[in-house]
Amino acid sequence: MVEPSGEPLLKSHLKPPGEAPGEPLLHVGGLTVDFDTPDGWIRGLHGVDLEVYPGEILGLVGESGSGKSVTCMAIMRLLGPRARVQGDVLYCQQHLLDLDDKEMTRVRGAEVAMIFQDPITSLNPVHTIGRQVNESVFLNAALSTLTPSQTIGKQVGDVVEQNRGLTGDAAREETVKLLDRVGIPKPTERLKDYPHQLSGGMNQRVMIAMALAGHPRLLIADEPTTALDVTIQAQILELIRRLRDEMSMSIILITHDLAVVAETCDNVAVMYCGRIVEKGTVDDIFADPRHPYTRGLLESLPRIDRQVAKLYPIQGTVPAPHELPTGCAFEPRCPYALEQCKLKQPAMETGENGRAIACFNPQVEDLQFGGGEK
Amino acid sequence: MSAASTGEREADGPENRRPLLEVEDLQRHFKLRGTGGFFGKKAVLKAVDGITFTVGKGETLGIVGESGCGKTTAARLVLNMVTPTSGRVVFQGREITGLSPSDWRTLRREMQYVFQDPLGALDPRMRIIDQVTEPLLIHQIGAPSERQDKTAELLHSVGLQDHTFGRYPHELSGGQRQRVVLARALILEPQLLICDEPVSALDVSIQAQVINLLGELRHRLNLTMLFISHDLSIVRHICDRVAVMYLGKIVELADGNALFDSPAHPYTRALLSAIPVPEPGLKRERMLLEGDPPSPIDPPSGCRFRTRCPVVKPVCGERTPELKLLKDGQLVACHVSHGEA
Repeated sequence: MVEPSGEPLLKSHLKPPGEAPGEPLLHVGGLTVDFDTPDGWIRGLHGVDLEVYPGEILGLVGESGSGKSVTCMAIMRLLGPRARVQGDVLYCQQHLLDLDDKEMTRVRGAEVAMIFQDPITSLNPVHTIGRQVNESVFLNAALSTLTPSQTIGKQVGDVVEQNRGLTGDAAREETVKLLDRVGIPKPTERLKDYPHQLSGGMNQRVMIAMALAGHPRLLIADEPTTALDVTIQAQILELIRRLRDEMSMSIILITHDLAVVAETCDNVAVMYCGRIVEKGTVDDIFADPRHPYTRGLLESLPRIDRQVAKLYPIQGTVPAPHELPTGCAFEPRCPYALEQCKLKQPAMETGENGRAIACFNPQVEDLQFGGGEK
Repeated sequence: MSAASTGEREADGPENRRPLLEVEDLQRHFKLRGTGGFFGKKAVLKAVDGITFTVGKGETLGIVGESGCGKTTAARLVLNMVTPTSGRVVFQGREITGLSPSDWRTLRREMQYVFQDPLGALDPRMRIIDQVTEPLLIHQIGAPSERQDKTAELLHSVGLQDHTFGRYPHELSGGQRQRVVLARALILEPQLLICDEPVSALDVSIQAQVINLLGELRHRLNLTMLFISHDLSIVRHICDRVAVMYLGKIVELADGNALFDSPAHPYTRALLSAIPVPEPGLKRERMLLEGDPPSPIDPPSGCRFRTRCPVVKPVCGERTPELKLLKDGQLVACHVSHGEA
């Protein structure tokens, strides 16, 4: 792998960061999303609060339908006209939800970039609608997607032109530099390649290169390694950590894989049915998970490093968004549910070290297979 | 017979207990269309290139490897869904390669297959109970009322309740659908169950339910399984022995604990070290492999792993390492591990 280029990381077109150290780069408060469906309005996100600090990797973890992708699509304003987004999204003191389309287009790519598991298809129908509606936005705004019909050089070059105002040889030089930075061997020779000529891991690197073209301060990575083999996943996660260090970027890593969170992230927010149920530092959450859902997820995991006698799955299934119970959404599956859990939603209680839990009956016992022991 | 299969036979236990499934030097090469020009030689993709393994009665053998390593083709070869280029498959002591379609029809009762995608495996227009009963009808087993009872009993035992029986696949969750697929595979009481990534499409909490169910059914029915997965954590949990494949060849085959606790092949070691563990700060030896696996159309000479191998020696490019016994039933195909380099 070639050494990273030593170019200055500060962006001249960026407003000087107004925040003192310790201020979050991104503050999301009370974010709700409603979707217009044939059955009426359905709430997909029920008031999400989160902060992303400079240089932090935040893991957003949960099962399918938990709202982790919707949260990020809402932050990026990519959900399209059939979604109603309310709440606060403050990025560098700017309210992203209030920006006009032109300003928002500049923010996407230049300030906040996003990469996906697979740019073309998705398992989540909500995604697909969002993406279809916003196809043009995607193509214009350097949200990393690859088109099969154009060469790597052209696609990355276009993004460089849009975000950096470079043309001709300068754009080409910058393109090569970016491809080199993300670890693509012999980048000059790759410029004429099409995506189908590269492996999945290499295409993901190209997408990361496109995301980096505008030197974003926040990168949202939505399941970036889910479609990749483990040895390639390890390479991409290593790359993401290295880029965070080199470019002092903040990263939101969306994943369903708790092990990826444990190895990659600084902080983690666990989502269930459109809400964050527990958050804190990765060390705290994994050593001492309190929310029954977080605990259930950890107890469900088979382990590679030791033989586990039995898994302890969470009983039942995730309720559909239009069938959520009145109280805590996890109550029907929760082995520790109390009477009040049925009646109302537990509020998020914040403790020390940024640890927050939304549960009437948090647990402190060891996990059922002794997940904490070394 | 090669040294590999002899060693494995010994590891399997007493000679008189013949394994349920024996696979010998099985190969499948695909000629690629549109290559080689008018007179030229067509390019050949060696999806499975000479694999040998056995599965004993009641045993679960895991086959692991990254995409394109040939693990799914291996399973399909055993079931004759793909015809082998060469090699033998012996089931219950009888060679089954090259059997006629009608012989296969009766044999299919004994060997069942569970796919990754349950929705694709189920008929969208058939009620759950009818789908699970169908194999009994096809094989003309039991009277109609017996069939209904048997189906209901099995659906209960895979954890489905009465109210789901009359539903259609789209009305069920992913985990429930995979339970239906399992019930349909088990209704014929097969000797061998081949599972290809059976839980990969499921969420973690549901995945654990299905894994537990598989483990329970395995013990209760004394099932023999061939379990194909890219997820090594699941394989460790469920399999007795594990075969690791790389570019069409088995590079290591060993007892599960031996393989995971003391992997001998450099590829196995790299693969294991790449898997993240849900324990922050846990210091593990990391072997980050560079680059991608080479194309199976034009694999490297000698050892196929040598282009990415951290301990590669000159001999690795010259001779193909044989899968042979290292210790205690641990078969490894590596010149370096065997001290030959």
